[in-house]
Amino acid sequence: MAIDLLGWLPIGLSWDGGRAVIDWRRFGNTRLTEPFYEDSMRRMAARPFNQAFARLTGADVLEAWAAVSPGIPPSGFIFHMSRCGSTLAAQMLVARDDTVVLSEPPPIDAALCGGDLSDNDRVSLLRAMVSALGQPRGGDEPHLVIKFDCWHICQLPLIARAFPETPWVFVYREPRAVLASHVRQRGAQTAPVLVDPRHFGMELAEALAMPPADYCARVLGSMCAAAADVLAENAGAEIAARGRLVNYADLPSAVIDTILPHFGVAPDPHARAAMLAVAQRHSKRPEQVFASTLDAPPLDAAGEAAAVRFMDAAYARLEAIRAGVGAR
Amino acid sequence: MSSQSPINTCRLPLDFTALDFAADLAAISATAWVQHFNTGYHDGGWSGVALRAPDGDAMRLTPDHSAAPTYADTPLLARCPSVQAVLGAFACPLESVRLLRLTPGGQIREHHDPGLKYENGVARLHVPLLTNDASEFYLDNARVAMARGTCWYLNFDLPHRVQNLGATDRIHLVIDAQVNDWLRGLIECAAVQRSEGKPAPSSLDAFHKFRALVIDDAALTAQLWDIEDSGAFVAAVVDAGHARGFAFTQADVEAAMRVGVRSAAGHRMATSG
Repeated sequence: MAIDLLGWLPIGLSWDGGRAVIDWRRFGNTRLTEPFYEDSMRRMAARPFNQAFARLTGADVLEAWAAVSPGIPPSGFIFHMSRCGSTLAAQMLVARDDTVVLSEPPPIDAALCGGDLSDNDRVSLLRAMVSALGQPRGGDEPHLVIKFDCWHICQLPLIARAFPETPWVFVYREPRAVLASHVRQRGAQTAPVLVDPRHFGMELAEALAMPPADYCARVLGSMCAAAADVLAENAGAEIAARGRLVNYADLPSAVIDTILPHFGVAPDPHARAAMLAVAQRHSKRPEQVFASTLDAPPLDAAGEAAAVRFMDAAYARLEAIRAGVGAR
Repeated sequence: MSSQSPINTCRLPLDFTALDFAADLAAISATAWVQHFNTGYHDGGWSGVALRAPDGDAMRLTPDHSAAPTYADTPLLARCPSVQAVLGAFACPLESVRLLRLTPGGQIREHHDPGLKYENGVARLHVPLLTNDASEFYLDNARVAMARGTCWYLNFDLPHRVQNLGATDRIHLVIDAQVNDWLRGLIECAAVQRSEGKPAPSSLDAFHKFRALVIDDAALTAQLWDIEDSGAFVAAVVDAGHARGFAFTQADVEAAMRVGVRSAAGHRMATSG
């Protein structure tokens, strides 16, 4: 029988003795409106139907489904350093009826970071997973935008191999605000037991031995450096030409003025109004977006030293490249 | 090997099939059966008889793991020569010995008994004295079919449940044995030589077959998808299954749902900002 997974989306990818196992749940044509895909999948997985009728398949079914029902080709990828407005950007895009937004889907992280795969196999798996997740949500949405987990900027070359034509942006922010936020409340990415420190060029033992501010700063700085490296080392090549830098200071207007034109999304007055309404709502209730930033105390001397040592140079490189790109 | 893969189910090489348990059971008067203390776990059809209990008190059906009670035979054991023969086969100290009965249609809801596994020093062993093919025991959602007169060690720290879908009583002899070298050897050798036999058919299998059918049936999917209340959903699934010739129970559906919830919860631990 032909594979029919219409209305079903992957919510997990795990590894059973080297074999990928994909956990699918039925979403019907429900739109993904929550700030994170994880929130959407929690809501859908809580439905009794999805508790009782989960489907588990191998990667062969995932790849076959991509051939039967290819998802929307991605219009753009959003990378970011965390705590820098990327969630606001994604939520503004959710306000558009013409765009499916996937915000940090755990199955994409598992495809990129899990298991023990060759680069070629990982590229195939990532393409098939994006195809499965990027199915139209009951309409004929022409656009798909994926916001990746922040540590995926370190795997941009591999992602660009899978999607060589897809434009991307990197959202970043003045280092001290981001670092202060992480020092106050760590995210998964700055907790070495949750997100593998090797993404950021460190071994676990080394990471655990570092003072917290140093570790946070090195993680954040290495993400900025990864974005700068791709742009600097590939100047003139496709991967760099498809990239844009967006500073938090230019949000939210940069979503409309920079990100959407770069992603090839045509201007639309109705959608513009809907996006600005989201931005307005967030500016009135910013704690929903920047919960941990607002009341973060300023950095102490150790934090300041960590920012200088691990973040300032990478941030300066991004700012210099952005000035150059802007003039181009 | 026990440190590498925990032993959760094994049939011990003790065979009591030749014993006449019917005579023993006939000697226990109907009034001796007392309802199982854990009324939250069952629907009233679970009762028991204490054959060995703290201080030899036949009214104490509850094993006492908290203090260090002195276990002694109760007067009822003297009426059960076949059970005495079973107990005589054990070269290890015994704590509580009970008969536990589940009447036709009875259900014991899924639960677990924290710490009750042989690694912790006490092994709970089952010997079915009276059973039927439709009396179903599930350990961690896998059916364990225990035939009359066989002897089983099970890890009751794992979730387990029972449903007697048959027309006759299910009566098991339940022995809490202190683990010494003899019993440890018995359990670990039996686990190594575990049979390669196929899993027993079960009403949970019927649910899994029904599940495959639902996924291919758009109308049935749409009908069940819309139900947001868990209780109404389970009832509707059981009805839809029965209407199509699949005999499974509400407990089967609920157990599958718990698996679905657990696996969904495992997919991500944290969210970045």
